[in-house]
Amino acid sequence: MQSSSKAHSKPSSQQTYELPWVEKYRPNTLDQVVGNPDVIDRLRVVAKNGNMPNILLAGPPGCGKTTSIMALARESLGNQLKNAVLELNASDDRGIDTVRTKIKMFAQTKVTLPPGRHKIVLLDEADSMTPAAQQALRRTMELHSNTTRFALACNLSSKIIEPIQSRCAVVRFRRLTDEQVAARLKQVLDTEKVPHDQSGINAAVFTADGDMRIALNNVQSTFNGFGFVNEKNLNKVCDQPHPKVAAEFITLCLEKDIDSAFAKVMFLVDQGYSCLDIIQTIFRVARGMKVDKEITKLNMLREIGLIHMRMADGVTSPIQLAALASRLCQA
Amino acid sequence: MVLSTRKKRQRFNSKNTKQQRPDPIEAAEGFEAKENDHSSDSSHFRDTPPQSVLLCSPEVSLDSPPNAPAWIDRYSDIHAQTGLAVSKKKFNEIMDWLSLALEHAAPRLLVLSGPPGCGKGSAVRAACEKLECKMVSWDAPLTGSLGISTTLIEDFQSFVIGTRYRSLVTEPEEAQDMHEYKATYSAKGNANERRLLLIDDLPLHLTDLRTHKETIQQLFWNIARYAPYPTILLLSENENGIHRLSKLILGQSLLQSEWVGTLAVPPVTTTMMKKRLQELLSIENITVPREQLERIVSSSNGDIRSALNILHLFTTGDGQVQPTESRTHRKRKRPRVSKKKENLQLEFDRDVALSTYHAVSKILNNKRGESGQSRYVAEEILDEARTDPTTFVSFLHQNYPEFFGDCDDVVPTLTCLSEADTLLPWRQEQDLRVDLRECAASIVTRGFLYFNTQPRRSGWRPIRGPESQKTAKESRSHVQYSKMAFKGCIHPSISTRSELCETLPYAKKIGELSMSRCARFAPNAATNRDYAYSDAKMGVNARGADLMANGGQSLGVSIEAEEVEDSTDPIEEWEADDWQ
Repeated sequence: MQSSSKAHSKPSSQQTYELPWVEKYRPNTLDQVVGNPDVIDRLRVVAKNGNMPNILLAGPPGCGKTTSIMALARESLGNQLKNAVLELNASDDRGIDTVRTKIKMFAQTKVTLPPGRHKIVLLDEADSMTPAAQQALRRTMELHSNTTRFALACNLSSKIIEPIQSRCAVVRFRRLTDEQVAARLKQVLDTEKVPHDQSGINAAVFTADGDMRIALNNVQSTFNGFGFVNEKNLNKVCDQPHPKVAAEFITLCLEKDIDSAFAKVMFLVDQGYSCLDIIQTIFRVARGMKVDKEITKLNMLREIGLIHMRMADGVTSPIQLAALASRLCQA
Repeated sequence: MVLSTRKKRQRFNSKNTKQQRPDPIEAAEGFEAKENDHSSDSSHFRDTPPQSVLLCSPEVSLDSPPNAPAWIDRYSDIHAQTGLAVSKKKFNEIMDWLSLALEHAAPRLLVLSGPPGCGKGSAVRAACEKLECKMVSWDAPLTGSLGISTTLIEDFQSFVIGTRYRSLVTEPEEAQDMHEYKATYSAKGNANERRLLLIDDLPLHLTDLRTHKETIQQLFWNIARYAPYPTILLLSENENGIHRLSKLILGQSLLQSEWVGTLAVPPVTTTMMKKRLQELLSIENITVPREQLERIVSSSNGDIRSALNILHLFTTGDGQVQPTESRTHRKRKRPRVSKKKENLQLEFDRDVALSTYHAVSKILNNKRGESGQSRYVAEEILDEARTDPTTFVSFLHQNYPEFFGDCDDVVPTLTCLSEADTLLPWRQEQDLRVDLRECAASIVTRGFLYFNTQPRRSGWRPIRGPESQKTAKESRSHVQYSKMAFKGCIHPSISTRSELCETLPYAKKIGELSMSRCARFAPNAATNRDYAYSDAKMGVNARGADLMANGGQSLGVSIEAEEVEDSTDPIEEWEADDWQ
């Protein structure tokens, strides 16, 4: 089955140029945007009615901030999109001078728009702007609000200076849930006619941790490399210690079966993963794990944390993992 | 019915006039009364005293100008009249200052500071309108728009110089673009007109301010002394920042002089904001469920501008589904109940720090279910709070003692706290520890939730921001400051620690000693400050001089004393140097 699927995959991978799926499947309309239904609902209303206030979109990477604002612009401005949207991201120069010239120039240009619509300045990754540039933006935002509205996207709203936060409606995006990522992945894989199985999707969702971009990239590289998306292939690409093994390790420790637990963790070491990677995976698994007693989980996290700290400070030997196993058996 | 409505209205109005007494119960009552008014007789705004008349002023009921303005702009006019956000008392203070300054034509400067969105700008605009004076303000021009490449500071400089000559204070180029300022900007011709200079946008950011400190201070000195109009400088800065910033911009001596007044505007109170938002909503013909409004108000943290923005986003479309219809029926208020949105708080709240407060109080209050188990899952709270774990841990550390009912609970909790603190990266180079922060936060949160078995229930205990961070920040800035101030004075081989803890205190001691002696020798030098400045001229860093002068001794003395430690009498040598 695997060989046939590989044969099947050949034609698409032989194409001379293929867009990254992240770009190819970037939603064009707000309806297609995954996750954060409340926020998207609101933006949809704004797109329909116009008169968008200045907004500040804050949220972790890969949760659809830029996508949804571009979709909003597309929906509300239609064919004037090119003229009426100024997009600046961290790769563009956004010093004080840019803010004071480029953005102002843009705000003063005349574009014919339907009533109630405004030009949009999209400042992506606004948290990378210097405070000085943000300060310069402050007044510009106010003076031109009649014709131009600002949409700022950032990861941490605390990096945006207070006066700007005050001038924007802060909209928080949340990390996508695993189900949302999985559903969208499935959709993309089906459209691309990529052979895959459920384990592959699950693994991709785990590695992505709510970041749609990572999920798509991982799946695409797995497909390009192996032609079939399953857990095994995906873990080869993403090169993370297998979370399932980590989970088994913890369970065994809680059952106080130290020999098997030690064998499990040494299995990971023998696969060539660095101890730091292993313990990071163990922590991530432990954090989301259901444990009967609260106190057990607390002690577990403490032990993992202490061992992790030693490793972070330089002692990355398997002995630390052995110590972790024995400590966890006591917890 | 009519009688009762009027009665209520009167009561409400009488309440309105004594706003400076923020009595929550009373205010809530007034609020209630007003709500009732709505339903029974919605056009009552028409016949009530000033404020309400203004609420229906023509600019407002112009429903959709060609480009629908954002709410913050549309309603800036209303704030203007009622002083939307600022309390009556503060507004009166501004009015008093302004009318005094206008009447006596005394060249004076008012520094109006407050957190963003507390209504400073609107209050000034309102005061100007009331006193019929025009506002002239400086706005950063497009670079090179004049054909001459000037830096911003130069442009600002020429603006300041221009203000000295009445005729040079002209309308800025961009005025036609500005919907909001149109009325206030058309300050043309008439030399007898009353005017106010408003400085809202500084030509420099804080970091540049330090380097151009002297120029800026000189400019403001000019403004304060020679500008023909009263000037208001708006500084939006939070409470701790105000003093330092205005000091930096104006300089200590100017700030304390008789030409400069300072006024701090507090954040908008909850009651006031709720009232204003309700008024706006009734104009917009939209009803927002009360609890939603309360959430917006409480999450805005006293920032009315952001509250308006959120409200705008939140209600877009609700009141404008059929714009033509709603315009014709404007007088007959027909509130359209907006769909209830859940999770509003999570998606639209404002400040990271705020949600931190929520999460912290959740953890500290630690509500428990029937089985004695904590109701919350630590990781869920942490994910919701989305704060930096380091901050979160310090928040808990700052606030924990008051929330424990049993002393024995404190011990294991503190163990967790200390362990978490060990895990956190505390030096720059420990970048591998970054991943540990999540772990630390998890441990602390779980520790609090598990071990605090008898959380104290009674009483209101406010959650405070972490002092430790503030202190650390302050100490860092002090160290940097003194490093800079004494650059080149201290031998490089001396470590920072011994420089700060041994050398400088010793130098200070000598300085004090010599100061008491030289005061006798140099009677014409009036203050320590003068010594310091005269030394500063000798090539010593002026800021160091400032620092030492404030500390009550002369920099020159201490440094001289350092360098000539071997000499028998350093004081005499210094005197000989300086008083030539």
